[in-house]
Amino acid sequence: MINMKKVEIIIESVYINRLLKLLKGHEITGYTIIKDIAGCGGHGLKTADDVTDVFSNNYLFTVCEEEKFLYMQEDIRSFIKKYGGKCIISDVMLLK
Amino acid sequence: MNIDIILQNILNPPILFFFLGMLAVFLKSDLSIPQPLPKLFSLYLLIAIGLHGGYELSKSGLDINVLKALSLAIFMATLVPIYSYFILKRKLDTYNAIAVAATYGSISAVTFITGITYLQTMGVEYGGYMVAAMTLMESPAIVIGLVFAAVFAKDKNDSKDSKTDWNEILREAFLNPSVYLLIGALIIGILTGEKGWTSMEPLFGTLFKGFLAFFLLDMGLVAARKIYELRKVGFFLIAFALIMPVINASVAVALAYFFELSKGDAFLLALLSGSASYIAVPAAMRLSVPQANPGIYLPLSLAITFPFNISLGIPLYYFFINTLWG
Repeated sequence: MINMKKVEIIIESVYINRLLKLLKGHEITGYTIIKDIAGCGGHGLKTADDVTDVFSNNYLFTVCEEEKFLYMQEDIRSFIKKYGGKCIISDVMLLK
Repeated sequence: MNIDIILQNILNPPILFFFLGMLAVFLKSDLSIPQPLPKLFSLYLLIAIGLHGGYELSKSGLDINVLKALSLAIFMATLVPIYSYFILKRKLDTYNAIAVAATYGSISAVTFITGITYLQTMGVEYGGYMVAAMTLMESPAIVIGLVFAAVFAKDKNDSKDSKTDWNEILREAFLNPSVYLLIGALIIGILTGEKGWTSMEPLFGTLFKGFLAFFLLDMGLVAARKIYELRKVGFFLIAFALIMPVINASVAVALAYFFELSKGDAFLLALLSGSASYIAVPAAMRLSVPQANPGIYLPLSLAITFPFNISLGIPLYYFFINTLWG
C-alpha cells in the first residue's frame, strides 16, 4: 500500500484539453475522465443534454505522489480561478 | 404580410415538433431524447445538407453567381459582428459584448436547413453553393471575436499560463465538427455527383424531414429550458435578440438585391445573416473569452433568436424578398 493524493476535478467540457495539457506539463499521464456529467454549482445548472458542450461538465480524477501534487497545486488553483470548476484533494492508499 | 405565408411555415411537421418540445417543458412533461441521439441527428443533418449541396454544385458548376453569393456571405459574416459589437458595447462589458457579437455574426445550420425545407414547400429554387456560403459564414465571427478580445479587452495581466492559445482557438474556428463535416460532405457531394447522391438519397434525402423533426423536437426542449435563464439577461438583450436578426437580414436582402442574387439565394443569405450560432461560437467564445458569461449569449441565441427565426423570421424574410423580387 502506497500513500497517494487523489485529485478530482470537475471542469466545463470545453476546457478539458487545457486541463490535460496542464497535467501533462506536470508529468501526470494517467487519469480517468467521465464526460458529459450533469450537476449544479456556482455557474448554475449544467444539464449536459445540449447540442453544445458549453453547458456540460467533465469529471477527471487521477492519483499522484504528494510531492508531485504540491508542485502542481498552484497551477491547478489558477486554472480553476480562471475557468471555474472544482478541485477536490484527498489522501488515499493505492494497492500495488 | 399574408398570414398564409406564416401558416405555411408553422404548419410544417418539423416546426410543429419544435413547439411540441417547448410545450413539453412548459407542461413539465418528462419527455427527453436520450443523449447522444441529438448529436447524431445534428451530424446526420450536416452530412445530408453538405452532400446535397455538393451534388447541386456539381450540376451547376462555378460561375459569377456562385462567386457573388459566396463573397456576400463572407462580407455579411464579417460585417455583422463588427457593428453588433459597437451596439452591444453601449450596454455590456467588453467580454460579453464580444461574445454576443460573435454569436450573432455566425450562423445556425439548423435555421438554414429549416429555411431550405420552406423554400422546397414554396417551390422556390436555390443554388447548392449556398451550403458552401453557410460554411464560409461560420468562422469569420470567431476570428473577429478573437481580434476584438486582443484589441479591446482590458485584462492585459495575462500570466504565462493564461496566454491565448491561438492555435487551439483557430482550430476551433475553422475545424470545429460542424465546419469540418459540412466541408467534407460538400466535397464528397461534388466528387461523386449524381451517381453518389442517388446511392445516398434513401438515407440522406428521403428520411431528411423525419430526422429534422426529431432534431427540432430536441431543440424545442433545450430552447424552452433556456427560456428560464432569460430572466437574468434584461430587456435590452432580449430586444437585441429579436430586432438584430431582422436588421441583419434586411442588410443582406438589400445587398442581395443590389448584386442581383436569385430569389432563393437571397432568402437563404438573409436567413443566414439573421441567424445566430449556438454550437460553434459559444464553444469558441468559452475558450477564447472565458470572462464572458455563457448564461447570456447562449440563451439569447437558443431561446429567442432560433425560435423567432424558424417560426416568424422565415416567412418575414420571404415576404421582404417576395415583395422585391416579385
